[in-house]
Amino acid sequence: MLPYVETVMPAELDPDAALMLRVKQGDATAFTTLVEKYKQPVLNLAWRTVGDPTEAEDLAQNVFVQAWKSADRYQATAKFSTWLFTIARNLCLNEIRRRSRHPAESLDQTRDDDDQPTHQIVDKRSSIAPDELLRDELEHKVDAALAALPENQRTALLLCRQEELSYEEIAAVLGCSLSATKSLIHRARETLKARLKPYLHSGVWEEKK
Amino acid sequence: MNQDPANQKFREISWRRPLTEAEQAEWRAQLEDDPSALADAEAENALSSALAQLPDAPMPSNFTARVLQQIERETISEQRAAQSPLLRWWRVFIPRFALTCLVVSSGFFLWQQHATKKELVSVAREVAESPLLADPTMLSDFEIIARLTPTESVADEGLLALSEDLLAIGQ
Repeated sequence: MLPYVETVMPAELDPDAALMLRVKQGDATAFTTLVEKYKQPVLNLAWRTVGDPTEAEDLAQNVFVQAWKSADRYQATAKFSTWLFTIARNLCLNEIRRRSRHPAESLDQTRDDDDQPTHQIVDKRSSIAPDELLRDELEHKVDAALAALPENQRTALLLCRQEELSYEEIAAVLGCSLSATKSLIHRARETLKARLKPYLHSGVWEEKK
Repeated sequence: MNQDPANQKFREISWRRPLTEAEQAEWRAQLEDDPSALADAEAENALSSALAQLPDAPMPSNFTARVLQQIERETISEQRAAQSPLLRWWRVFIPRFALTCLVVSSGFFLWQQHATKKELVSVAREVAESPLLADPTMLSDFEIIARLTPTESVADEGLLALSEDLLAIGQ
């Protein structure tokens, strides 16, 4: 690993891009900082793509390993988050393609079945208030509805949750135009609204106080 | 869907996050003359709230450490491969050499089988085309015939001379 060399960065440079340029010079501390900041959003994207928590962890790990290996080719022409989520999305797509070639390996993934939640919850019926139970059930419904979306719509919708990514940056990650990206998001949301209609009108999803 | 730019503005904001109370009030005010658009706006906001409340994926406490460990493992592995060209040669070329030998020996074996078959066919053809041998029973008195005293050749010589004269006369 090369020693870190202090350099002067332009003021307008994305701070994460500046960190990544230090990683390019071998600064492991800068890399650790980036991992700590982005591990949760990357893991969220992986988890809602593959469904299994263990596989999602492996996938998210590989994203950061790939980012480290690609550091020497990193150019600060865009925000670091755009670059990182592009790697994450590509690895997720590879995993989806691998699963489509070997469907027997994912028999436990019932993505379209509302009764099969994509993440584990502890059954605490005896100690949880009915409102919370209902909320948990509705969260499973949303999870199932998300899992049933086409990959590009689901990814567009999930990236929307990343506040640091603008619509233009989401378009760059997806590799399509801004209008196409907004169309994907719109279609995804229309599908979710149709599927979750009874729950949306129930008022259950009022914001938590 | 209401294509009004102001409506679309609030819609796109709601895609990123739930609207604030003030934003909701402003949006409702814009849509109060369009009940279906108003209902859709309420659904959009409810969906945004639902998506915002989705739980995060469970994060293992040693995630970053595991990433660094994996990087270290792969770096060591790459360094070992770079430092040992003989090992790389061994791992790459020996299997290829073995496969080549297998292919060549298989080809030689098949060629040899073909050549042997060809020879057999040739021999069989010769045997089939050769004239029939005499019946073995004809040779049963061979020894007796061989012991017979040879005939005098004088009568044969006279016969031969006579046949030559006859030929000369005929010409």
